[in-house]
Amino acid sequence: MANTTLRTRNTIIDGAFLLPALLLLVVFRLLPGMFTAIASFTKWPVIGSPEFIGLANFRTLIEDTHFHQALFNTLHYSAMLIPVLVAGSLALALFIVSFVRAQAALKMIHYLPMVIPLSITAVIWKVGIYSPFGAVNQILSELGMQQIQFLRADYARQSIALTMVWRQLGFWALMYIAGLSGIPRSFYESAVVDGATYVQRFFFITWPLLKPVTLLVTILTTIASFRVFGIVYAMTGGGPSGATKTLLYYSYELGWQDFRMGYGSTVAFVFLLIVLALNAVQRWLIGDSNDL
Amino acid sequence: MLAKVRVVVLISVIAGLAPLMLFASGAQEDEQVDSISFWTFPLRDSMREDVTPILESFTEETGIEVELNVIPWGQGQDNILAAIAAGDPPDVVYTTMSRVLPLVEFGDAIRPLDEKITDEFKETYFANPSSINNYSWKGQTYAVPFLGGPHRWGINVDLFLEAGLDDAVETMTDPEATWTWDDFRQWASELTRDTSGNGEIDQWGYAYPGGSTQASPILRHYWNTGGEIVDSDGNVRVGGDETVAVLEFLRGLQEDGSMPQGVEIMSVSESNGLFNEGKVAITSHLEVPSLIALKASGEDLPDFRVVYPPQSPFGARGSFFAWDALAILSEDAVDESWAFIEHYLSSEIWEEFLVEVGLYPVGGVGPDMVDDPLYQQALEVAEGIFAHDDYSHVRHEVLHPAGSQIIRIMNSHLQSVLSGAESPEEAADAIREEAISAVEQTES
Repeated sequence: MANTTLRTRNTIIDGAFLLPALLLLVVFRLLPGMFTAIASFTKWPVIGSPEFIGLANFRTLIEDTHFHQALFNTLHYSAMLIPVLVAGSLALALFIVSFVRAQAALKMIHYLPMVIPLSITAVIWKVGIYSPFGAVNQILSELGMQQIQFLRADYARQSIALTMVWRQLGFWALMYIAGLSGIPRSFYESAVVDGATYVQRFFFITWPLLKPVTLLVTILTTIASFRVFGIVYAMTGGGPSGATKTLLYYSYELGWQDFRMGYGSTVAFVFLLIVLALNAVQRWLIGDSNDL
Repeated sequence: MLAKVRVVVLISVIAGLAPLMLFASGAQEDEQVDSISFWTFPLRDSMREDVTPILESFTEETGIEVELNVIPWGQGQDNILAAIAAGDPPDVVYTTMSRVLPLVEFGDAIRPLDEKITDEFKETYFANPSSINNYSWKGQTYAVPFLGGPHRWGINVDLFLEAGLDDAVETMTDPEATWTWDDFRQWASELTRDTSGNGEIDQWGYAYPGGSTQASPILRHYWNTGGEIVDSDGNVRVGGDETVAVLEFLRGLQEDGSMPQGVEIMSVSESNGLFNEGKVAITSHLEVPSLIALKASGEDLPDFRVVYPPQSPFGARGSFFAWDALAILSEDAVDESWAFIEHYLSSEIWEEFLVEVGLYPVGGVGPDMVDDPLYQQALEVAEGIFAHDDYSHVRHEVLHPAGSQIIRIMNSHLQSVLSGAESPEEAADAIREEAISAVEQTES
């Protein structure tokens, strides 16, 4: 009886501690998500009343070439960003931890791009680097080489992705640095005694033990790559000719600029379903989800 | 027995609440408005400090407090929409046409002002009739145009003279003379040069800011044709001969090599930067105030001059001229909001703004205290444009709730044309098709 009372009391206390976080999740994540799902079945011009129209928005979506383009662009960003961010951040983390003395300084430097506000990042890259009069093209001109129009429709997505990599690599590397610090040094020392090379130590110790971190980084970079918005907003406005427009940007444009919040919600809802599906596939491919 | 108790309790509750409800409704009828909210886009960085004295003097006169919210140009409309959707809109907003119409059409969120706008008010503030036309929709006036932002065509006279185009300068600055798109293209070609002699072009005739998502760059050229985008009956007019002509003209300048590489992604500020640095000879966005400020700071600037718009192949000489406006969103403080608008407009502070921000008065205040020759010339051209019959197509944004969407469609296809992905004809057809769809969306 006393045990039961104690358990009940502990449960209440645990619940009380969880409640604020739970409330935040419900109010700022779950409810808006549910609201978006409901709104996707309506015609709603933001400031008027929503009108239920069944599956009409989803039918429109199938034939909407702008949606197709935004979906393609989003998947293209993901295809570029996920492997580069996962592999790149791991490589950066390995590089940083290999320096024993300068590690603290390197940890600070590699994280700097993440500290710079997104709007400033956009200006630096757009005007300072990608512009026909930016640093890279000035150097190319000096060398008598052809200029590169980084933000032309053909290269714009790659250029945006490169900016994203520059900005985010340090953040994801930080996760790997934390993961690497959790691997006991004795494992490596034993391997060295057994004559294992650096490559063998990486593939038989580091990589397997970093699997949970890799799974986490992969899932989070997938979500991040699908959520490309701010940099597109600040650098290209979705152009040229919609070449850099993502699903999220398209959803924003529909809802807040075209007054089609119902249809914009449909795009956002489909976006959510795609991200959920991709995460499920990733977890299945990478392995045991209990590692997280 | 229980049912009886319930009935008694219910009656007691209703009886108890009734006086309260009556009191509440009575209180609402007699309720004095003691504060209103005013949201404004910033005309300069110190907007809050600048307008606070006006708000304070209004409070002194009327006893009504004004809560000021300076909203950013980029996301301000989202803030307004969110406030309306949340049922708590600002009472008065300082905004623009493309932001007003959707609020009228989709949410009935703006109060018509025809009953408030008296003849006396018109005489004082609507010196130019085109300003009020920009805020009339389906026979009603929804906002008071306040300050006008002339978007000026300008030239670097030094570069023209170096290229031997002295006559062109005379022609472009004479309201009675005309210069055409063919002249534009020819002169732009002659102004495109390798000035350093290293075999590379480093000076261009024109730099269209094709990367801009704004309305003003594309409309500068489109209004010049005299063409309409959506007529007063809601029929889509864009996508016709005028559209093809604009797209062909800009593509032609690009093919001539008269514009620098990458114009399809160039922003207005980048284009202006090239012009201000003397790398480009003609601009559609001469920023008179910033140039005067540069001059005042001791910068040695070339001889910049404002020019009249060219004559399009269709005969018209239209231009883009922005009129910002004050609108009332309030439902329960309309009179107080109107009193505030009248007070706000009558402030002497706007004379200073006209100079520093480079705005053009709708009426009421005179900018005769400005000494800078460039500003004087800019005003002269602005006044010349309104005075002359040839320049009858001076317009602001697209007068339709789908206006912003159509501008985005136009900008996107223009980028395709400048990228070589579409021909002008293909782009014009696509613009028309998508504009029709956008208009239908707003009407369905």
